[in-house]
Order: sequence, then C-alpha cells, then structure tokens
Amino acid sequence: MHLIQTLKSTPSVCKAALLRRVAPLLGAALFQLLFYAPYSHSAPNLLHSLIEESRNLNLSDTASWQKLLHYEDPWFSSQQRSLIDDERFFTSTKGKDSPQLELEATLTALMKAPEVEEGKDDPRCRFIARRHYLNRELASVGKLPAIKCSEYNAWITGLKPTGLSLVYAAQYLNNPGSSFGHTLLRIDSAHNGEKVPLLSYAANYAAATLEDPGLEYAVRGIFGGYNGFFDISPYYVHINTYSEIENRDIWEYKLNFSKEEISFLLMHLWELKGLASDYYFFDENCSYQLLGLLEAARPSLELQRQVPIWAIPTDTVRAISETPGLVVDTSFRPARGTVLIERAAAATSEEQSTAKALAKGLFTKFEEIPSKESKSEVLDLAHGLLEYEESGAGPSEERNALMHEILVARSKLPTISVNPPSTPAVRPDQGHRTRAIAAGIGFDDSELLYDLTIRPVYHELLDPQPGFLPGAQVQIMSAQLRHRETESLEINKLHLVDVVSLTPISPFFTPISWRGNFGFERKRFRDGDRKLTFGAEGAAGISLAPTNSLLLFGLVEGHADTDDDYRKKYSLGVGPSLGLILDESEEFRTMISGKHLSFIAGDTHTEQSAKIEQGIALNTNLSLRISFERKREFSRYRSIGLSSIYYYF
Amino acid sequence: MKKIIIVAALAMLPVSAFAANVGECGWGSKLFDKQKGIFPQILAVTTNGTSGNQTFAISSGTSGCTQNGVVRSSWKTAAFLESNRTMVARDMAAGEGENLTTLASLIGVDGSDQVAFNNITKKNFGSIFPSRDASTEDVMQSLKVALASHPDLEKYSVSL
Repeated sequence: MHLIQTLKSTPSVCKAALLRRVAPLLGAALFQLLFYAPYSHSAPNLLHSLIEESRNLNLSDTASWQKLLHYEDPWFSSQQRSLIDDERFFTSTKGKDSPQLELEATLTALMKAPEVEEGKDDPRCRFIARRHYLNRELASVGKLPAIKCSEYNAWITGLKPTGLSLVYAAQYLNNPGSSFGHTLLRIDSAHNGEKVPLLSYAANYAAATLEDPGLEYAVRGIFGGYNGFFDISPYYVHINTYSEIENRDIWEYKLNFSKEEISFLLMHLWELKGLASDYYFFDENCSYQLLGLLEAARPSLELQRQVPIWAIPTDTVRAISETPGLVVDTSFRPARGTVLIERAAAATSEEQSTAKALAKGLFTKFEEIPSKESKSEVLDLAHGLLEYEESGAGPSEERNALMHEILVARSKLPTISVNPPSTPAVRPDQGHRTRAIAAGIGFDDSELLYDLTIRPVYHELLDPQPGFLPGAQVQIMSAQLRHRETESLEINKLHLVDVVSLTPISPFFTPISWRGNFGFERKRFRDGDRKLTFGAEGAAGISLAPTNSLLLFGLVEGHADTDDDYRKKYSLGVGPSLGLILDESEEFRTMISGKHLSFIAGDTHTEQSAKIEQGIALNTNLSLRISFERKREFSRYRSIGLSSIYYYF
Repeated sequence: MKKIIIVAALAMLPVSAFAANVGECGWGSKLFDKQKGIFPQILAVTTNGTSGNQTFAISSGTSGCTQNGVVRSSWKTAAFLESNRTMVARDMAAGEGENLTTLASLIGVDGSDQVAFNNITKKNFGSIFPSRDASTEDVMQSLKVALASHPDLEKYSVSL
C-alpha cells in the first residue's frame, strides 16, 4: 500500500528514471523466476498444490497408483501392504503400508533440490515411472521438475523396444517336477529393422540362491528365505538355458501392449532394478511378479487376482491368454531335445544305428553310407546325441574333439532341408485346469461307499491329456475322503507328494521310468480294522511305446510303511509293478496295472493288486473315471469298484 | 530343475580393452551342475533359482560388456559368440540355422547376401572353428579373414 502511494505521488519524470533503473532488475528477477523456478521459493507452493490435488483426486486409492507400488490386501487383514520388501523402493519410511503417505513423500522427493549422495540415484530418475504418472495425473496443477536421465536413456536405446511377449518354458522330459513351468517377459527388439528374436531382451524374476538343490534350498524357496530380483539379459541367454541345456519346449505369447504401455512397463522395471523382494515359491514367485509388472503398465488388467493362493506358472499364462484380446499371436519353439527325438524317429533304423555308433566314435558304418543326404542326416543326429549327452554329463575334452570331427565332416557335405517339429495342437495353458475336485460312488466288497477327492495340483495319468506331458503325473496334498455305510467320513488317502514319470525308451534314449510318493493310506489289517498308515514308495524301471497310443511299463517297487498296528510298527516291501496305458481315442484312456509286494521286514505279509481304470474326458474340464480293483491285503481279498466325476477349476 | 552356475568376471573393463578381454563378458563359461537322483529333482522345483551374475540386479551396472543388463553395442557380436559359440558352430557346419542368421544380422549382412554368407562360412568352417573350444577372439578373427576373401562379403569383414 505504501509503495503504491509513493508511486502515485512521484513526478512522472522521476518515475521514468526509476523505471529505467528498476526495469533491468525486474527483468532479471522475472528471468530467475521463470527459468529457475524449481529451486526458487515458489516450489513449496507447487508441492503443496500437487499434494492438495492428489488428495482431491484420491490418487493413492486408484488402481494405477496401487499397482505401481504393488500394494495388496492380504487375506488376513484389510490393511494394505506392498509386495516389495526392499526399503529403497519407498520414499517414506511408512511407504510399505500407506499408499497415501508414499504418494506425498514421492511428490516431495521429486520436488526437492537434488541432494544426491555418493552412490545414490537422483529420485527423479530412480522413480521415473512414478514421475511420469504423477505428471500426467496432476498436469492441471503444474509439472514436476524435468531432468535428463542419461543412464535410463542409454538403457532404453540399448533395448530398442517394439513389442512385448510372454514366454513360457514348459516341463522337460523325465522331470515332472518341472511341470509347473517358468515364465519370463520378452522385450521384442527391432534389431537392424528385422525381427531377430534371439537378440531381444528378457526380464526374468528369480531367487538369488547360493546352494544347490537340496532340503535347505527347498525350504528357503518355499518359506521366503531367498531374495528375488528382476534381471534383464539377452533372450539368447535364456534360450540357452531353457531350450538347449534343460530341453524345455518354449511357448511365446505376443501381447497387445501399445508402445506407451511398453514404455511405462520399462520405466517401472527400471524402478525395480536391484531391489529385493522375498521370494516365495508358491505365491510370490516368478510368474506372480511378472503379472504384477503387466498390471502396473495396464492397471485395468486383473491377473494376479486370478491366482490367489498359489501362482502356478501355467495358471498365470492361462490368466493372460483368457483375457480377451491380450494375446495376439502364439508361437512354439521346440527344445533341442524335442527336435532331436523327432528327427531320430523320422530317420531309418540304419541311420539311427549308424548315428549311435558315430556318437561313440565309430566311423566305419558311416563311411559306407552311399548317399550324401543320408550322411548329413546321420552326422546331425550323432551331433545332437552328443549335445544331449553333454547337457546331462557336462563338457569333456574327448567329446569336444569328437563333436568337432563330426562338424568338420558335416561342413563338407551339402545343406539338407529339415522339417521343424510340428506345433502341438493344444498349448499348456489350454489343458485342463490345475485344481480338481471329484465325487464318486462305489463299493468295497458288499459295502457301499461315497468318495470326495480334493486335489490342489496338478495332473494325473487318467486326466484329459491335451496340454500335458504324456506319462507324467504330479499331485501335491491330494486328499481322498471316503464315507462308508459302517463308518462316517474319514481320510482314505492323503498324497503329500506323488510323482510319476513314464518315459518310453526309444532307439536313441533309454530313460528310467520312475515313481515316487509319500503320504497316508488307509489299509485294512488282519483284524478287519482300517488304519491310516504313513508310507513312502519308490519305483524304477522302463517303459515301452510300441505305438503312439500304447505305453507298457515294468517297474520294481519298494515300500516303507509305518503304523502302530503293524507288528514291530513298520513294514518294508518290494516287488514288481507292471501295466499298460492304452489310448483308444483322444477322450478314452484305459490303464491296466498289477503289482505284487512282498513285505519281508517288520510286519511280514503280502500285498497284491490288479486294477483296471478307464478315463473318459467329457470336455476340457470334466472327466469321468471308472475303476475296478481286486486287492489282497494280508490274507484277505476284496473287490473295490469306484465311479467318479472329476471337475477341474 | 537344473541349476546353472554362471561364472562371471565382473571386471570393470574399459571398452578399448575389448579384444583382449572378450572372455570376461559374463556368459562364456557355464558350468552345468546336474542334480542326480529323484529327491533333489523334486526339491529343486520349489525354487526358481539362479546364482552369480544378476546382470540387471546390480545397480551400478558396468560389467565389462553390459550396462544394466544391456550389451554395449561394440560388444554385441562378441557377447553373442561367447554365449552361443557351439550353437553357431553347429549351424555353420550344417549351412543353416537361427544362430547363424543371428550372427549374420549382428555383422550387418543384408538379406540378399544371407545365402552367400551361409555358403562361404560353411566352406571355411574348418578354419573359422579350428576346434570346438576355440576362443571367441580367434573365431572372430578367422571369420573376418574368411569374409574378406570373398568379393561379395568383403564389406562385412570390417564390422568384426
């Protein structure tokens, strides 16, 4: 007020002189305000307005903010908690539990003059996705200070992103434990303007482990004893691991993410760089974290919600492929082992035996082959055999020399055209769902019985086959409850872990077929009492597949059972177990099996069983199973028949 | 599940030391450690583990040939060969394959020259790969010589 009065009363000539002196100063001050605004005294006002606006818009409640920070409602409380465990992910010390506090602290950090300590990143580049998001949402109020993030820019330039694909590595032969699969995200990269998939990069979430697989490894993996990290490496490194060494078939699902969404996903991945989260094998594993990445980039996706208690990779792929429009294309990349097996099957028996001899270093038969094409084929097969051997046994000088000799010979022979293996008709995510519940009715001698089976995971031999590896069975915590006329509902069987792997021998390979399980089973003792015994079984042998639809198996089985009702409280047995599996059609499968177990230690007795089972696939997620068994426990024979409906969900 | 131990030397290498230190890119030597037996196999499935070089997870990312997991452009061909050398050899001897085309793409070979590239490398296989475990450096050098000897492919030898 005083200034205005003074100005009014000053003569005009003085005002002009004053102006001439003051104008440059005013100009300089204005210049400062405009171009150094972020660090001027007006910053606190901007910050205050941004925070105000964020509260008005309820930004911290939105799916976008929550998914960007990985907040979840744990089932045991309504309090939100972020899945990320590393404190460096949060700008507020209470950030892990409060979306609101974290948002406001983030705004504050992004506005502050950079007081970057040695070794710490500028938060404006560290939290680049958040900055991008907040700028967009709060644009009406003002912009957060800009900055050039050269390390991030160099990274994006190196990645050259043009598309996004989900990659699923399926189970590998003779290891049903790998049934659950593994997922990673491929950042499709335009290299030299052409599509060269091997040169793309892949984002992968894995536990940083130091031990070899063993009990500690398993326990730590299950109970969060390891830290999980996201990492980026060239796709060819992953193909080496999964396709070449582990012989896993790979499925690639191209996603319909836009350039902006991919860009935002990468910004967010940058935010997760080097940050640890507790790795939990069942629920916070590789696949679950990948779904979180996808949801952060496209918050309208509800993927993690579809795999609530445990996230089996196959189920996470299913969540993606069943979201309308999300998958635009799929492709199949057969494992090196799959290619070899198919080529071997297509070769003549002469070529097969010559290749085997060659793989042992015997060249005589090879020299005698007249046709150049046939020679090429044999060399390729022999080299493939040796690669397969090496992936199991590790490198050796001798084998290296032999493989080199084979390749030199190969280079002198013509190129031949090779048909790649055909793509399987049904993908793993299109098979039956992984949980099962079954209701059955049957009889045990003259007694009527009712069964209820609850199977959390995964697949049995008599389930609908498409999408699953033939001959492989994995069940975990599968419970069969039985109600009889004379007894109320009780546990008949509880498989803690049950694994079967029947892989037939072929001209090239002689894999061991095997079974392993442990759990509880109700047995009928001498006095007629039915007791729940605890036992473990291991079996090994071979399988043959004379045709595509017939599998024969012969195993030697060992049993260790324990229960108070056994004489000496335990019983050890061994004996043969034989059977066949016949596929009459895609929907009809018959399994006939028999075993004779001689329990020779502890409580000595004999167990025998002859069983016929029929599986009928009614549709993808519904099947009927009918079985009849003639069984001998101790000295008593009985007949058990059962008819059940299985529903997969 | 099999565990791969990736032996990595996270040396801080200046880019100019590229030729002498290509073996320390990170994925070169893979010691494969197979778990024998059913029990370890079943247990191994409980954790998707990977030890050693978390190339992206390490926040200050200069590791010789990668930065934050992305391969430096001057190292791209060397890094790929270091990792996929035996597969490139296999494809090269056969005269076709994805690893061979990927190598060609890295070198900058035009689509129209792909067939010539395949044929010339196949013909010179014995000199390009004198042994199965020839070093990446040696392979690149011999490849350069092979390409330079052919008029159509000479122009690509400069990128090696």
